[in-house]
Amino acid sequence: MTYLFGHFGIVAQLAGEHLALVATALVIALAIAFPLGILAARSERVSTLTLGALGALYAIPSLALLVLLVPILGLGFWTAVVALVTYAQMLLVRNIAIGLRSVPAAQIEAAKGMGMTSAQRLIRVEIPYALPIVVGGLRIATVSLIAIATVAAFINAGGLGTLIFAGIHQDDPQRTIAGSMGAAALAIVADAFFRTLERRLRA
Amino acid sequence: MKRAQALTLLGSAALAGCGGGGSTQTIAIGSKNFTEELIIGEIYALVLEQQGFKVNRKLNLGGTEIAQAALVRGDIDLYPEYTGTALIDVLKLPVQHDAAAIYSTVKSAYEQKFQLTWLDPAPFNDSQGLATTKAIAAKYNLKTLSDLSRAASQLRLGSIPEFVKRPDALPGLQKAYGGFVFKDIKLFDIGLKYKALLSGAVDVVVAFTTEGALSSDDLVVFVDDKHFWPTYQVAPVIRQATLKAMPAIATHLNKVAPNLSDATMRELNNMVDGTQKRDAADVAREFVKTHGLV
Amino acid sequence: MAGVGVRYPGSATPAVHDVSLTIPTGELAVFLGPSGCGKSTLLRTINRLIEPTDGTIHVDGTEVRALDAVQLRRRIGYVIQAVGLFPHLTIAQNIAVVPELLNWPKAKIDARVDELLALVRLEPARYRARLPRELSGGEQQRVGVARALAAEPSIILMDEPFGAVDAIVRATLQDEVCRIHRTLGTTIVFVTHDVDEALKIADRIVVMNTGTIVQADTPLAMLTKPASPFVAQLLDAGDTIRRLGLIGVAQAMRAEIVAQSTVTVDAKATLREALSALLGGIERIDVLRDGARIGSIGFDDVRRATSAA
Repeated sequence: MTYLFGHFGIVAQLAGEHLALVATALVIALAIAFPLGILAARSERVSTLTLGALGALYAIPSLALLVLLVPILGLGFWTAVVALVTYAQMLLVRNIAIGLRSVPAAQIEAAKGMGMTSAQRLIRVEIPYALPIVVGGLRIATVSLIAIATVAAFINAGGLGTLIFAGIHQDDPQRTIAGSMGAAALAIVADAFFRTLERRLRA
Repeated sequence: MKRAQALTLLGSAALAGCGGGGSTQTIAIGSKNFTEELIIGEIYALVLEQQGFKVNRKLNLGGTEIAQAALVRGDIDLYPEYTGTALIDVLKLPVQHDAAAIYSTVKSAYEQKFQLTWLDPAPFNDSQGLATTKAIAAKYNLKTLSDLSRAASQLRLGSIPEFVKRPDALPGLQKAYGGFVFKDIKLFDIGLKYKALLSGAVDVVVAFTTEGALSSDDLVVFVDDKHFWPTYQVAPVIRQATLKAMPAIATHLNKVAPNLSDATMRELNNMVDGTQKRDAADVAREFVKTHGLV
Repeated sequence: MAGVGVRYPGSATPAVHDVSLTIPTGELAVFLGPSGCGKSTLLRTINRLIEPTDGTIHVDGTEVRALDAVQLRRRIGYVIQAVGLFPHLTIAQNIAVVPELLNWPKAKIDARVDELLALVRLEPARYRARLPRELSGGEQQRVGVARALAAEPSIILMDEPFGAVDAIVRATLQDEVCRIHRTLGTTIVFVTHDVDEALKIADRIVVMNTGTIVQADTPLAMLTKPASPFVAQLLDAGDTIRRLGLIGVAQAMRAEIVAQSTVTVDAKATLREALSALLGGIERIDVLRDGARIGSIGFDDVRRATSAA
């Protein structure tokens, strides 16, 4: 705890970097995951292929993924973001597809029968219905990314991992604790935020 | 952006060639993310800054593969690497034992394969090894790895996970020395193994020979009497393009190398990893001052 | 409809085969038949949720295929068994869906929502802002009906709309549909497999089997003159108990007041009620009109009336 209180400014700055990595990755990940999720919800074959491929990417250990990415993209923020976007895809696409598929047949039948075009059906009926499930996926993805983003430190992209790994290599639990507590705090806040949002949407 | 940077470096080659002296070119210096690399990377940075170079620090890289990839790609211009690591992990060549031979092998291979080159190596050898307490060494009368290979069945080993798998670690030792079947093997994080040894949880631990903890008088490292391990000498690995553009870098960093002996390196590591817990950058700054490098 | 046929890909027999039918404006037509007879399929060809493979369908004089399917559906109300209200929208927003798709001005939509809630007997002030899951099954289906009526369609299609509600609520909703049909005069095409429901609400029953129309007639004509053994069996035309429900006590009683019985039956009741009173254990009971004894009825009278009908 002593390190945390003695260097609060540093921990806060690293937490800020950490959050910037995760938030940037989530925005980009969502923009990619929505069209993929919609396609996966519409076609069983696309779903099997997409989720299979994303599952395989998800299974790559984070250090190994960075080792693959650095020769192509180099060090730094955006490489870390690409890695995080990759990990988020699996969770987001799966939940978007599950959410869209869970729309009861009766609602789709009613929407069609009332004269909605397929775009109107998607926007007015299917996405609103799927939203709590999508936000659930977003919550899990955010918490995972906060944990995974510690490896950004390996490629000079900053974040709380810098402190955590410095502590581990230096046998200085104070730094590790400070960094881990920062990450845990971010994860708890993010989890609570998305849980509240989820509950609001279900209500 | 990265490509533009590389082009600038090449473009400035002619200028630096005639002008010499202090340059305002930016040099990106990397290092891996353990104490010894952090200290040496910072020392390189401080020395070059003193000579008027602008330095961009990218220390803390997560391992040999990332540092090597970043160097080849030009995200960093140089970083400290170990000759033994380059030989076995990067080049995947068979183990050699003569320090000078290893150095010349990796230097020429790097120049051919990667357009990278090695500056002068420091004399210290951060090899792998096995260590125990003075008391245990005396009790079982152990000095060399040969002694230990025979006594292993009565002893418990405290290891880091990769040591039990890598061919240049326990499996190789078993082949080279015979024996080396420990009574028990317990796995620890790299930072915790000496605590385990001193608390009596294990009898022998995996060691890296310049680790700060080994400066303690209570610990002894077994002599590698069959020269199983290669030498692990550190030297700056640098992009040839960078060196061509700023040849003065070699002169400045080659002045650092002779100052890094086994004893000095252990002491520096100990200031960071030991009870003082000082910042690696701080320790590096003190080192360059006391050795008249700035 | 002329020569309408629907064949699903990969199916050997057509789901609907060579159906020709005219439903006059303002009629409440019921498609009746066992499950799998093609009645729902036929219904869904009208709003082009299913495209017929043969034949033509005209709505209000226009061939449906000449219209854009989406536009066509906005002009036709549609009610399904599972209701299919949108759970994230309030009751008012659910009812407003089609008017909004048609870009009605907001004030007009609001007024229409209140008007419709009142029509299906849900107090607008109480129900407008509620969410579907706060309503009972019966209330939800009232909203389903209101939603189908929202844009003043000339036709409403109802696909087994009351199949999922309990018997008491179903009876009430059937009454509501009859009332709304009388009030608005909208053409309604109603699909059911429930014979009692069909007999109760239909102007005309269209009995279907294996994809074709077996008989199309008024409920009375169909019960008394079933065109085939299938229709007779489906309607249980031979089921005396069912027929009892369609014959009044007044038609079957004798004028003599015999029994001075304590158990009596009203002249406006059906033979069904008379029989259940008789089964209480007496040979004859007296018949009342406006409280006065005007005759009596016994087992023999019931038997005679049902065999004659």
